[in-house]
Amino acid sequence: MKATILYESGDHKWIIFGRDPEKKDKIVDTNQHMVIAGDEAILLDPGGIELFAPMLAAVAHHVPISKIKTLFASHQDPDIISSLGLWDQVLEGATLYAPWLWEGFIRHFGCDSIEYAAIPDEGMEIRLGGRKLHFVPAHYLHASGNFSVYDPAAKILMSGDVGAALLPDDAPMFVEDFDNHVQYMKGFHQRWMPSNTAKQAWINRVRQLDVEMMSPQHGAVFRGADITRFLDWLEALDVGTAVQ
Amino acid sequence: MARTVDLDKSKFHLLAVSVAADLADVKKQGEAISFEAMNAKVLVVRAGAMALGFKPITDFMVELADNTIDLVRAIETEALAVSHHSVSRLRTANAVRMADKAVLLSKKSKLQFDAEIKAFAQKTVIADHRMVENVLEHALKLIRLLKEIAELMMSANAVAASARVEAAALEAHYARSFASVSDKLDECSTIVRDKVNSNLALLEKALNV
Repeated sequence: MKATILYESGDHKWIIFGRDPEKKDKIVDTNQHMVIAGDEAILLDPGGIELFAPMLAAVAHHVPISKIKTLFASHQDPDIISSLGLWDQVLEGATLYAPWLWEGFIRHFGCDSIEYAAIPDEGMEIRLGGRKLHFVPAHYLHASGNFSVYDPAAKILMSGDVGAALLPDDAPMFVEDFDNHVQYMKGFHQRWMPSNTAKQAWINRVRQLDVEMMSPQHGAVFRGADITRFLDWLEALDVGTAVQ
Repeated sequence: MARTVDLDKSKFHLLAVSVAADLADVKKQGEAISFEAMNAKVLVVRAGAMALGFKPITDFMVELADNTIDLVRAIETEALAVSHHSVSRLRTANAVRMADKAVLLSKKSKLQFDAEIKAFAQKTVIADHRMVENVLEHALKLIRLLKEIAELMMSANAVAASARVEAAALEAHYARSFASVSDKLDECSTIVRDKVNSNLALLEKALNV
């Protein structure tokens, strides 16, 4: 599991984990994120059950496991949170923030000791080691209850499946050529995203945020001007159209 | 002994689920036995002095029916517990495998916090052992209950035979009614005994007891 530091300032750090070389071929590649702030750490979309062992080992490179007190699941998909039943056995006194809509579903993965904190539809703000993290509504992108995560200090938006790309193995972690990158995103967004209305609402919301880095759960990280390029591209894209 | 049994090798979780499903029918038969005992009681009251010899048999049938219902309920609880715990145990076994994998990965690269991964691996092994103990405890209890009900059903067969003999001495109308109760009791207890014995054999084989 490769780890790339996206942001570091004092005791505040964003790390993205992905491109696991030992991942089985037919398992979709995913990006997991960890935010460390002060004495606490949160795992954002900690991943599927198949990735648990490499994730645990990768995380232990950077932080004592006992510091992870919070998990976040943008939605209920297995590649997002099916490892929950295993984290449930590792973490003590931890809380999972996830959409209220999916509580009854996500609990199927096993959630005995971890507390489920339901995120309301309008989103919410939490504090991690004194830093703020915002759970920004991203409903229908693609799940009907869905959130992105925004860190105003790091100016990073973890956008979940928005901006996702199904890339070839060993693709770079950052978008280097936006126009070339579009081919890996287009089909995904047309098929997975069902609603132009929801898409536009999310774009409007994100345009109001000060974002320097946008990191999706699949694919590569957007930086600087590529973020606006992406928002413009998504705005013009007719989604929910892959199957007629 | 059961303590040395390999639950993974015997795919015990699958057996536990099918045993629980199969034993669900025992409850139905137990209720039927209880119903027949009540029938016999009513018949004795109706027949009056004519069926005095039948009364001790009926009393025994009622007692047997009560014991059967109690046992059947306990069996249902234990069978479901065995099934539930053995399926839950798949998760703890999976955690052991995942933790072992994480330990191997941590050996490959120098991890800053690898002691925690080792501690987690130990914790998963302990949790898994505890879950196996849990499965075995309920499974052994289930075996004891199944043996108990198998014996009780042998008594029920004997009571049915005595009832049939006693019924033959009664007036034709009551003889038929008592014989019918005896036959049903015999039939139900035989079904329970067969079902219990076949599941008992499967459990004992799987657990090596």
